[in-house]
Amino acid sequence: MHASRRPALHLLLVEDDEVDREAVERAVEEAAQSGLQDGFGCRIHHARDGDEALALLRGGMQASLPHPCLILLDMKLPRMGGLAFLASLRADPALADSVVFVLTTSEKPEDRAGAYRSHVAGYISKRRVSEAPGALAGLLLAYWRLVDLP
Amino acid sequence: MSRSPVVSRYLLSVLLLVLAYLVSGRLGLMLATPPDYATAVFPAAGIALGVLLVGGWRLWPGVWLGAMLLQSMALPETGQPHAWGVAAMIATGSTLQALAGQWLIRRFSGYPQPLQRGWQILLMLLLGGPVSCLVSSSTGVAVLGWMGVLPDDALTWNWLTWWAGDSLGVLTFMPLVLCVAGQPAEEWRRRRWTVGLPVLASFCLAVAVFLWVDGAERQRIAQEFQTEAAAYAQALRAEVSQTIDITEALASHGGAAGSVGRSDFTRMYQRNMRSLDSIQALAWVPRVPADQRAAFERAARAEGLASHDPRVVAAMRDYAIRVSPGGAAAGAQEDGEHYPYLFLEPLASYPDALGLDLAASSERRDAVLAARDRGQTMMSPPISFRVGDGKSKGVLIVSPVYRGDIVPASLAGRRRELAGVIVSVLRIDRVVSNALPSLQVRGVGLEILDEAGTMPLHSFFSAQPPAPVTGELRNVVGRPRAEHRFDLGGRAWRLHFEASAQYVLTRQGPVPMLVLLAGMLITALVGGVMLFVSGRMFRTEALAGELVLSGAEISRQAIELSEEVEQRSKTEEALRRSETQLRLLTDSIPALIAYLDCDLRYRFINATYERWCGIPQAQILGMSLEELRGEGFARLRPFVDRVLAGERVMFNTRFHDHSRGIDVDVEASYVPHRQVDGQVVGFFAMGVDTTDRLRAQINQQLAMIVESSSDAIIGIDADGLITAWNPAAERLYRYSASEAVGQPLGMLMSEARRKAFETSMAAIRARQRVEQSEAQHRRSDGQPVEVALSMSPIVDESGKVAGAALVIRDIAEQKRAQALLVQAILAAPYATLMTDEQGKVQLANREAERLFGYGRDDFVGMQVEELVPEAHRSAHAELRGGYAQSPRGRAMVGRELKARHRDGTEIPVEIGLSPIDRPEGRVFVAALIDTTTRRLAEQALAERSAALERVNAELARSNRDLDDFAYVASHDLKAPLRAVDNLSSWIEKDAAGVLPEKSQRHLQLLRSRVRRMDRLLDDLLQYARAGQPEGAAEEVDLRELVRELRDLLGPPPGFRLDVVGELPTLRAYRAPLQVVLLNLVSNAFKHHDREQGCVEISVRDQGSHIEVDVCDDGPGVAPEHHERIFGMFQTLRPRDEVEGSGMGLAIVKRTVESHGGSVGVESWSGRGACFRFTWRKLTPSRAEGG
Repeated sequence: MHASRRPALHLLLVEDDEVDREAVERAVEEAAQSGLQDGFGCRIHHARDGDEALALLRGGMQASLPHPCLILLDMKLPRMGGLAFLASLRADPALADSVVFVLTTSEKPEDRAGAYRSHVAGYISKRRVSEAPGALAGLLLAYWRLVDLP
Repeated sequence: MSRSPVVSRYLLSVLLLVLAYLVSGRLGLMLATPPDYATAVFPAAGIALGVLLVGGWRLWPGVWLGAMLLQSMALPETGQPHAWGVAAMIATGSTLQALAGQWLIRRFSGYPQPLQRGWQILLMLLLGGPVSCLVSSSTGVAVLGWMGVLPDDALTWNWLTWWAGDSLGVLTFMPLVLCVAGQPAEEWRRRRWTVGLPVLASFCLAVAVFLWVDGAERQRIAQEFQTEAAAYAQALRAEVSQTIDITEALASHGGAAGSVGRSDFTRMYQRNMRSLDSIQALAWVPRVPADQRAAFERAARAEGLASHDPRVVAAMRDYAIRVSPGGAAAGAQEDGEHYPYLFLEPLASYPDALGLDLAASSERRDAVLAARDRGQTMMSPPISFRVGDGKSKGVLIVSPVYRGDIVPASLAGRRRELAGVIVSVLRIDRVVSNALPSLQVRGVGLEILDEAGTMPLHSFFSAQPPAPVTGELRNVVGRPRAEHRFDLGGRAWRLHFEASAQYVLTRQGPVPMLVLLAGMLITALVGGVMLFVSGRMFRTEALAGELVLSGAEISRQAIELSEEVEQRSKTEEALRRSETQLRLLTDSIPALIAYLDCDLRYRFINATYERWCGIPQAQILGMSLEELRGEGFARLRPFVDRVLAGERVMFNTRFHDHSRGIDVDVEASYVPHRQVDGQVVGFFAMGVDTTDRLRAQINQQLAMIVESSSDAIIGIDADGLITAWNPAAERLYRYSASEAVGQPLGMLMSEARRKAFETSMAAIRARQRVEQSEAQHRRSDGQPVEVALSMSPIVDESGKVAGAALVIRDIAEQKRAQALLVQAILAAPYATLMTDEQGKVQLANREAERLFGYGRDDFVGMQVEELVPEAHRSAHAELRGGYAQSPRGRAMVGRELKARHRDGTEIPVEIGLSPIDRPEGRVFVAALIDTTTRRLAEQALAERSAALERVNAELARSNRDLDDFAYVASHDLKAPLRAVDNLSSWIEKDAAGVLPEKSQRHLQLLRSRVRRMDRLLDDLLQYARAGQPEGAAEEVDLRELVRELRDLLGPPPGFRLDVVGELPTLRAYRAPLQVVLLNLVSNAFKHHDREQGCVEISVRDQGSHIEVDVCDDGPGVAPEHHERIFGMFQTLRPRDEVEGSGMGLAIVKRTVESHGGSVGVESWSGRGACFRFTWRKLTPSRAEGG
């Protein structure tokens, strides 16, 4: 069966920790190099906190960041934190339908519950990711492939 | 300020009136007959009058504005220069009409009123309709006539229509307005259905019928027009076609070029064409090839022309082929051919056309070439040409002439052999007026179009008559139109006929207008009749209402009368009955009973009265009191006056009893007899013989008192011998009455008492009462009796002392009670006081002495207020007085009650107060408790518990802080840790080929330490969270829990997890229980020192909790470590050997203890360790309630 090609995955990584950013980049890179992801292209955009991410989404660089993109969100961020960012995102009619995965060290039940109440697509613990770095990339790429975004 | 709502309400009314006037006026004008200015029915007039009637004449600006706007909309279309002035004048007329109408109606017919009478209705309709409507029609028509809008001969008819229209409008719509808003509202509202609805329905019906009839009429006219237009088209075609035929005939007659000379041509024209005034000109146009042009021009000049017109002569002399009349010489044509006018008739009209090249104008050239090529007569598109000084429109009719008179068969031949063309210029207006001479008269417009041409060939529409908006409704239906089309001379013409309004008007019959008028008349009649009928109805109803009312009054009076009669007969009957009963009753009574009326005449006496008077009853009745009682009346007179004044009187008098012949003391009472209204109409006189009655009564009552008394009552004579001995005395002294009577009273006493008794007897004999004294008497059996006795002398009728009456009471019981009370008070553990009713202390106990600092003797006789602080003394005395009035045992607690010590200090106390009744009077016993120490204790307790609470809160807060700290610390520590892990793993990967093996191993070690740290932090986190409630309590099946445990842990190969005995189900928080078991079991596996091992779980139910053992066969725990292992970060083996944070047991301990359990370890020297913990079972209510 010939799978129809999809446009490149645009990933908005909201993360203040440089190492964690690189971790995601490496994971995606490795997944791409492994050749398993046939014909897959991925572009990663960075934002260091919620404010920056919102600015980016609201059109600072609209040309390079098309609307259906996946957002990888850390909970603990300087300035605007993860939950506050989610609240602003859902309150903005233009962005309310964004698909957000939370990727965080926080295992606080309040954070997890709060994130799911703001309709995130998944709450992913960094601990798990560092145990199996390939899995996150696999998940995102598979998600991109199979799921129809808004 | 208060005026503004009135003003705005007024403005609103005016505005609404303007709107209503406009809408209804517009409706009325739509029904008008053009070209008449007035309309057959004008509802606005009715609405204006109705609204002014209902809402008052002050609303007139609404009428004026409405009319003004309506007229100014209609008038400009007539093109009148002074339209606004005219409109204003007409509007003023309409306003005056409405004002006049409402004044007339108010003045003569009367309004507001329900209009019940026929003449009122008739007058109202007449005054509002035909009479007042003279105003507007006269004004309006006069103004229109004066301004010239209406021709003089139309004035009368317009005035009539106007007047009739307004009148009908008033007759139809004024009742409608009144039905909606007329006063009095009740009657007019009811008329909505009886008058409003029929009128409205009739109006609508009339309009509908009118529109239907009118539509049919217009249909007929349209059909007529179609027929007429077809005939017109036919005639026109024939006319044009005839011209073409003539031109063609001329062409063929002309034959070969050259065979016809100028004179022949002129003759030909004059013979055939002159009579056809639709042919403006006729010309011979030869074909002149370019190479022959010069020769041709020369020949033409040479030919010359003899004429008396110098212009013609000159034209011929200078003959040259030109592009425009008298203009420059034409240049060479494309195909090298010229078509100049050579012969032209009437030459005098167009001398300068000679030499004009037809080929210079494309449309003329096209017609020429078309005629040449087809060999047929052709027409040109519409052209415009000069006629005299003006211009006219028409077409050229071009007919080809070939050499040799034969139309060559081939196109080439036709082109080669063309000698020239005969051209006639057709003037279209003449064609139309010749063919259709009556068109204009009949009011039919015509437009002729050449389908390929650019300009209309002919356009004529009869002048519109002045058409105001009147008749709009019917104009909407459209004027009749017709289209026709025909082909002639190679061109297609379209004819478009349209009827003018005049056309329609002259043909339409009077039927629709008659229908409308009839309908409106009927509507007005319906309104009038219905008003009349409903008025009659109201009147009838009112009369009927009055009748019913008066009937009801009569019947009510009749009923009252009959009731009264019945009442009276009943009363009489009752009176008779009561008199009989009274007699029966009173006759048997041994008292005097009589009834006297207010004239003091006897009306009733009973048998006793009759007997005492010694006169027959019949004789006494009717006698006056004075007659019967003689001089005795004077004594009675004041009492009689009082009873007649309404007072109840009792008095003693004397009455002579004739039957016994003695005067008798009589207690008389007069009772007034009142009627319902309070008037005294007589009185009852009653007299009772008091001599006998009193005596008997006293004796009897005394006997009864004595008999039933609980005190012993003894009568003695003057010698001290007992004469009376009541049952109480029998009980007290154990002597029967028969035993005691006749014995000396002294037998009850000791020798000493007898002496004392003698002194009492002496007092009695001196007629003195002996007050209560206590004594000891002896019973019949010799036992002493404690008594209290009092003695009263008995005096006989002669006034001598006949003996004495003794009242004796047994007081033994009271004495005992008193002794008991005193004992109780003295022995009471509280300060206790006893006071009398006046507040004097009678007794105080030792505790009271201690409390107040007084000696026992100091107390006696002390006023109780002295024991109260000075500030409260007067209040206390008052309170005590109030309490003495309604004494109840009560405790006085919690108040700021203070007692005063002898030294003046105040002591807080609680007081219990109880009244006790004693023979010598009521006493009060007060028990006081010194609350000083208790208050101090309470205060200390409160302080201690507050401190405890503060400590607790502090503790809770610091626990919370600790939790938060542990959580945040572990979390924040983990983030950099993972970065280290990531980075080292990347280095490992990226530099796999570069790094020496040793460094790679170091990296691995680095990462394993990182993982350890991570786990440590996890466990720390779990520890921190241990004891925090998670989830809700539920029924936990331990078998299930252990099964899950096995799945979670996955015992390493060679190891088993066993269950010993049964596992119960209990109500508990599931998660913490699982944490505990998980840690214990995983610990057991982790620390095992052999290849194979077994962990056993057993559970014992201990009622309120369960006891769980987790035992392993591992290396065991040395007793010295038993305490340590439950601490944080404690482990007994190196970290590199056994991966562990050393937190597992700490978590277990904290979790178990926070759920109210305990945990411990047992280990035997050698092998195995057994961890035992307890876990509380929750009861459902506790779990939910908590």
